[in-house]
Amino acid sequence: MIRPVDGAPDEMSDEALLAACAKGDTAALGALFNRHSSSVYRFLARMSGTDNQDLDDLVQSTFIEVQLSANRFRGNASVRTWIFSIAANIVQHYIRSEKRRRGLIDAVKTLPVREDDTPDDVALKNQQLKGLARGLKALSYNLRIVFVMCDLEGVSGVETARILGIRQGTVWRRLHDARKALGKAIERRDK
Amino acid sequence: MKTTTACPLPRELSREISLGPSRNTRMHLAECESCSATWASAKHVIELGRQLPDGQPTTLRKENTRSAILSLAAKKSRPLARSKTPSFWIAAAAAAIALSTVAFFVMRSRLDVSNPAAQPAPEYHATLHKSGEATFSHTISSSNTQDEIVRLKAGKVTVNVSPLKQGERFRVITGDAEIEVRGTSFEVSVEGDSLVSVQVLSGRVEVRPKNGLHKLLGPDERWDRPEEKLPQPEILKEQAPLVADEDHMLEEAAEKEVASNRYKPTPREHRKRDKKQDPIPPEPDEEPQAREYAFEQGWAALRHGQSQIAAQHFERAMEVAGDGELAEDASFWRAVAYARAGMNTRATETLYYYLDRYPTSPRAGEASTMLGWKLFKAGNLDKAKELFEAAQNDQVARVRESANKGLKAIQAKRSLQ
Repeated sequence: MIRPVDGAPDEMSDEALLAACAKGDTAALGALFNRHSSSVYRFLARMSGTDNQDLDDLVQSTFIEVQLSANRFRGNASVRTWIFSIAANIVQHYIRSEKRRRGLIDAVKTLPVREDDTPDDVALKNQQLKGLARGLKALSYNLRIVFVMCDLEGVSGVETARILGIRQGTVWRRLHDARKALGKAIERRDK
Repeated sequence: MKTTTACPLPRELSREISLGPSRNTRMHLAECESCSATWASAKHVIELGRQLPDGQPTTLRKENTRSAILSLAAKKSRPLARSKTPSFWIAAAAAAIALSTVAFFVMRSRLDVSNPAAQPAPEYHATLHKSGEATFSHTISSSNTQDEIVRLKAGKVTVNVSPLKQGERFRVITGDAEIEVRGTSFEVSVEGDSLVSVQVLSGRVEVRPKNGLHKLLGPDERWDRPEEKLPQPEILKEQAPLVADEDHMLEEAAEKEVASNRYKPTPREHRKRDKKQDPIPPEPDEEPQAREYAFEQGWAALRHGQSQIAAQHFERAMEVAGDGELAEDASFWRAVAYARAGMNTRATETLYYYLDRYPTSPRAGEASTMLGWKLFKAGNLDKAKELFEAAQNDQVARVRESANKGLKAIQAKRSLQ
């Protein structure tokens, strides 16, 4: 049965909700989902390069794992970053599987267009985005995770290092490599 | 071009791209073309990366994922660390999955997909037993062969559902509710296309009334249609609230509108209720249904005195409603719900938000007065006065009266100071 958590879920901190999750409280999990599902969807979409049914499955697996692992949260990073780390593990398995062959992001075709963009700008931007999406997909998992976490999700280098179990210097180096590779992917697309 | 400072290490440059350049780096970038190009390229990549599709699903898709997570979590919930499974069994399970996957693909490749007769027939998971007369249909959705639906219009049926696999769904749909199932047995009773009761025999069932709160039922648990609340008699008139409690007056009035169904719907809401309520898919436009559903959920919760939950539903309705009229209504009722829940800080914030966002709303005076009383209680007399003055000429007499009382109360309080 879903039972209420102690206190109003929307007023509880992420840590308190996670503690309630660890006790088997599904309402707390629901509150965490409401709070973080958008960023988890975004994170997983960019990590996996998919936006279809598989994405829902990945999100589902992530939050189920959050519930199962809640008692192992040690507070080394924010709950959001910790959820990302779980999502990252899940998506890693997904990437390895055959599924990644399906569902390439074609949505770039329908990206919102700024009004001040001329048709040429739009075409160029779409080309670049396609190049970037392909480049991101071609990146190794280690480079992709730091790029998505730090540059796209705004997680600090310190937290990223802590959650991935690597040194900060390694984070910055991988980030450098990722940006360089993606820059090249965009340039190739331009030519 | 020769530079006066040495190029930073790639990882240092990378760090500063994220955190901002130091003075030395800024000076270096001004004179080093190579580093400056790296810098610009990285910034461009980041900016472009943030414009990549963000995979946000439709609200209904998200709601379905949420329901699936909560239902699975309820099943899997275990407070202690995971029990250790012998690695042998893990390996055996993995091998079995791998074999069945291979078998599946081999079998599928042998099927002649151009011949519909060769397609595997959709598999039904449920067995239905009628109790007396019952009107129902049992189908598998044509758009999604993993979605099995029983449309029950009247009578009572007992349903046995074999365990569902990942992605498979089984639902019983009535005119006003939906029951989602995950491998279970239960009885469901319907009168005049309206759900009367659900009795779970084993497993878990989620009951989703269109105008009520979702409920997850476990074994031996039962859901009964709530009795309609009769309009409350006007007993509060005799107990006229003191000035200090004046802020509750409007909230209570609003709540009474809900409880007695005297709330006058806007033309849009009226249209919405005139529509025949049939939750059976396919709906061509998911979003309007989702936001109206969230709004109605909020309203139902408010009607049942579950103000906090109501506020969350209204919040969700606002999220999906964008800039429409429904967002305006949801925003107002969210504030009322927080106020009724006694969450004064949230109520104040949301009332401020409402007034900032919808200053010309027909309910602006009401919100202004409610907020005025909250601030009066908190001792912010200047701001409270402004708000009461703003509501003094409201078209609703009750609001004008409350605003005038507020102004008098401020005057009285100031004379005592």
